[in-house]
Amino acid sequence: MYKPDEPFDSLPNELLLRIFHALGDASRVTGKSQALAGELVVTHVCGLWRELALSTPSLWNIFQHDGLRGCVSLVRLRAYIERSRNLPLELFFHFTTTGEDGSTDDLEDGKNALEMFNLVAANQHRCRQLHIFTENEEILYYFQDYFQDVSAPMLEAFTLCADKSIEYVEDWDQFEDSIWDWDPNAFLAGSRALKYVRLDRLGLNFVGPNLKSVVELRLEANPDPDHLPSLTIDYPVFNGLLALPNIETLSIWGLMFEVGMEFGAEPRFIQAKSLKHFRLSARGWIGHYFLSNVSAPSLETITLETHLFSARGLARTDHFFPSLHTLALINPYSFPTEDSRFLEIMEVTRKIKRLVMSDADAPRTNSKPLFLTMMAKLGEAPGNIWPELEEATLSTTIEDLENNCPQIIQAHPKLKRLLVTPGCLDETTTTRWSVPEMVSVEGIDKADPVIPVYWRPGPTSLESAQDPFLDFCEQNANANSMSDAS
Amino acid sequence: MVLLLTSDNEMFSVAEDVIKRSAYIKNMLEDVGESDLPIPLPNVESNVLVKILEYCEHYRGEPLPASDVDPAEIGDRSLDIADWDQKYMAVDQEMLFEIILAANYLDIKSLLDVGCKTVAKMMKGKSSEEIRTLFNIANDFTPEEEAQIRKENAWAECR
Repeated sequence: MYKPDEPFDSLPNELLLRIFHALGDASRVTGKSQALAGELVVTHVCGLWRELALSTPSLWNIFQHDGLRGCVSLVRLRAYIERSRNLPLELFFHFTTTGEDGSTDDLEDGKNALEMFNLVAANQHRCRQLHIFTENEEILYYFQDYFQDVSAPMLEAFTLCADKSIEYVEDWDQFEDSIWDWDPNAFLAGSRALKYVRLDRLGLNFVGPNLKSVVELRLEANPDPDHLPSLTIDYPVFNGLLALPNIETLSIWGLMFEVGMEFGAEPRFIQAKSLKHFRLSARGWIGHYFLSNVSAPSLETITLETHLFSARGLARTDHFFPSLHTLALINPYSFPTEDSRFLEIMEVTRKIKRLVMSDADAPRTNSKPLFLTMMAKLGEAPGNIWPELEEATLSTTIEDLENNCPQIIQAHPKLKRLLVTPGCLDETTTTRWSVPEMVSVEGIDKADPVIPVYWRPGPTSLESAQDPFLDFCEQNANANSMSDAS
Repeated sequence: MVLLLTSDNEMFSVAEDVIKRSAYIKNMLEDVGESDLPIPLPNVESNVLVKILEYCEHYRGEPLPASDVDPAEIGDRSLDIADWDQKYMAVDQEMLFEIILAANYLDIKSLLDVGCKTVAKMMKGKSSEEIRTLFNIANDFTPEEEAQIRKENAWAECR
């Protein structure tokens, strides 16, 4: 029973531990806090809590290093590895070269990395997750040294993001600027459990784990510094990624790759037998190539952000994706005179049941002309455009919705659910839009991600793993809300 | 209706679909079948049961979680708490701990999860000293432990 003078004494150990776990998880999610991690704080409260926490390995198998300049977390890492006993380790390293005073100290940060990598490599057999974010390119070399030949039998999720360090790279030419093949060069002694891989441009240039077992591959240039050089990818490499035996989600964000016009010259269909979800934010021809030349019988969703609808159009439109049920278009972009290419996209995606269109008239993308064209096409005569459509999410301004939703509803007799910017819903909406009884018109719930799939880096989500596709949808939703308010 | 008898001898008559959010009661009803006899709850006082029933009533009609599914074990590691749950948990410390104990006894995992998250939220960002003060916990460390803790406090600078 409860003891009012000492409330925690009334809780059995199992409930105390439950609270400790919740506190530990919460303090990791906040990321940048100066405070001690929650699991450490509880060991400093009283003897009972310390004994209980120190004897519970599951409180210690997740380690996060947000490295300040010159700060050595080696002792703490060693303590976590010991206290977690034989549990699988989930390790998150963020190496920064910038101190709180804005100064940099590559040397101290490098020492940090060296010592910690040494310890991690010795315990690599226990690693379930290894995520490395660095602003110091030296760390990439250390990583190569320590992890090239190791075995990582339990490793399920791996991240190496180093693009922020590009700004510190004085001579970009020292790096390869083309990817002509994907020769594995990390975890060469085996990483058969690897399922989730996230790499940015520099990470990709330095590290190539064996991808045969990978289910979700996230490649990104983020942040997206326009003035920095991008990599080029030879399309056989891209074909190889699509044809990976287990890949279900391929996500490419930003100026990761630039591809040439010759992509469209590939005459054959590329088989992507396992692929279920394709996400792309890249100008150039990758999107066209995918829509034209890829045969993906299992493909369920396509998410395109700022896809360039150009005069060139698709190389072939005599096919479609038979399992595709969802198409998400975020800030669709076009040169003003080339909107007709949108019809080709509709043709190869004609079986979809769910459509997501998100736009906020963002100056960055100049997407409004195409977005309005798409809305108008959607409202054309029944049966022309996506006749199987059952659910549509339209995140745009109230004015655009008022001008187009009545026609869209009328043109899609199978539509059951229409999700729109919340501000446009009032008591008269259903009457004004002539909404049939079988159609439910609802406001978009900001708590629910509108895109069909988003990045789940594994059992522990951190703010640093924020999905850029989701970010843009949220920015659009916020912008539309603000326009509602005005 | 199901009859419940609290530790302070108060009888409650509760709709079966409301109290079935408690896996403990649900299993008991399935094992025993229909009965006019009250189910004794020797670990739950009437004022706490009123509060528990308020929770069960609010979520009445929503799908029951699978009996072996624990929110804490399915990847929900944030301290996000739904708005209604936050208001529901805006009680004094004594009631908060009583709710947690009762949720544990009655095996209402979603309520137990919310209760533990609420306590964790109260502790988040606080120093060990502040936590001691908040929950009236005595510092009983030995000098050796104090010395070790001083060393570990230096880890804060390294995060």
